[in-house]
Amino acid sequence: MSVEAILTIQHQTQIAPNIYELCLAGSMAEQPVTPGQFVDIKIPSDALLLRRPFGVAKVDTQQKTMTLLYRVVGEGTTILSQAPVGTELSVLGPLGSGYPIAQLQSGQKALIIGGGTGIPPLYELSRQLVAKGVQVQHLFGFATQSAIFYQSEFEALGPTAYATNDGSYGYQGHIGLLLDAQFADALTTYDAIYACGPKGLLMAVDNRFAEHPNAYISLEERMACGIGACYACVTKLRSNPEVQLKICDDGPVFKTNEVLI
Amino acid sequence: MVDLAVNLPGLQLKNPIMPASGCFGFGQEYSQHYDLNQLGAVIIKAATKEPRLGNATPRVAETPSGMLNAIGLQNPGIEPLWQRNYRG
Repeated sequence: MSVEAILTIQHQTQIAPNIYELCLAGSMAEQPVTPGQFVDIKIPSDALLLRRPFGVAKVDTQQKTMTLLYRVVGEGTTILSQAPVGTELSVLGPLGSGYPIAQLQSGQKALIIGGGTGIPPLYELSRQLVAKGVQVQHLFGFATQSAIFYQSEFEALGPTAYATNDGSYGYQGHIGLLLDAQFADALTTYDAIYACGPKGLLMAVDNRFAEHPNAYISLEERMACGIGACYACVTKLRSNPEVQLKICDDGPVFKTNEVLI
Repeated sequence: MVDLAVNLPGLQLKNPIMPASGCFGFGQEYSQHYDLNQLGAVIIKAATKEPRLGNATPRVAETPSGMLNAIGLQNPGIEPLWQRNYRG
């Protein structure tokens, strides 16, 4: 059950160029989220009507805090990045379906694939998987080394491989090339595959793991209401393009080979 | 309690609160966020005789203090909508 709640900015730090870590405190963080769920935040500006969706990077139910990681891309995120500690934000959430993890047992293996600002919700996913005893392997793509964030946080949970477009860190090239070069047997090696990132990354994962029984991708789309009422963010079912699913409500997480990307 | 009942020609409502068409989906989308029984009526999104897939995305754009949308009248058609959502 999602709710609207007021959360207070506890701290906010720039952790990479244009990338911010935002820690919010409030009652919404008393309950765990399903990893991959998102929250919709009302930007503190009368001129900005639509809430902005953010994947949840971490929830600490003891401290009652929720951490979001986001890139400043426009007016809304610029205003959010300048909001001081103590600012109260209207937050709707947690929203969406999230990644299924109940089917995995201790000792099984999961491959977590992310790119850029698709990576934040994968941190909560990795934390919850590791807490279950699942062995995680991270595989992340960035434009360049200076854009990398949460490196030590992810490496504390499991091995992490990197691909950068310019080759400044890790493998040179995109995630699909790294998958083919170093994880060619991933289809049979891993008990679950999880991905979030730009469309090209999702297509690469969707193509390679279409037949995997436990492979999931998280889609992005421009949203308005965030709860499935406005029909702004839709995607077509692959098996029947006459059927459209709502990314905010039916997703954002879908099985591979389930929807048209 | 104040009686807010209104009578529109042929339609008796317990109150005149009706979310505008397009803002409230087909009604049931808000049921987990709001007690629909508090409303006098729900004005649903447009429903057409035949199903419509609507426009390609992106379907919304923000404007200063507002938004533009062009969903394209996506709906499953009147008959499936009636059977699925509203029939007794």
